[in-house]
Amino acid sequence: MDIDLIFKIAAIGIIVSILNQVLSRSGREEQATMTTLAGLVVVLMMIAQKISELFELVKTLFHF
Amino acid sequence: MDTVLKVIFGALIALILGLMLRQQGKDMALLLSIAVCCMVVAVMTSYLSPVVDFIHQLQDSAGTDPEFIAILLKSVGIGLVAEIAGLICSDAGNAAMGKTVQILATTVILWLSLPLMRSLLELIQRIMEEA
Repeated sequence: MDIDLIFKIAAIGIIVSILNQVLSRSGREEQATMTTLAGLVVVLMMIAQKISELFELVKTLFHF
Repeated sequence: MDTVLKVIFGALIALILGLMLRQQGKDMALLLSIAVCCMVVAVMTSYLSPVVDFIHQLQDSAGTDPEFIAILLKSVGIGLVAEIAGLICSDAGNAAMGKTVQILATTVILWLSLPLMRSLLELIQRIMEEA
């Protein structure tokens, strides 16, 4: 278990939330939304990789 | 023991980080919880593989049909993955989706165990004919 992934996701989340607040305070609502979306997609990619790894692991373990 | 403590510690840290992320938006916190679930299951499978090997050893010494053990293991795998997916769905406030995934897993396991039931039925019929 590599705990780095958890910290990475948390860091991306915090950075995205700060960027979101800064951008929305300066009146760029659509850019703030885009930033949130981009962060979400990046994390989703990482998670998708992890999920596929997990499925492969379960497949090999239970002889699917 | 060491690994369990590490996993518990990591899960608690992730929980606190998730609570922090939840103030901003629920989506990132949900992704974090999915990541933690995947990691914990990955750790779990490394401990489960000797158990599966032992089951294969038991099957070898008992001389049962390898097909039946395969059905059993597949059922366990499907149940495990579907239970986690269902719990994540329920966690995200979509209990209906989670419950449906679990019902699907139950149905698939039932479908997988059809050959078992069929062979049991054949056995009962044979015994009845002999009697």
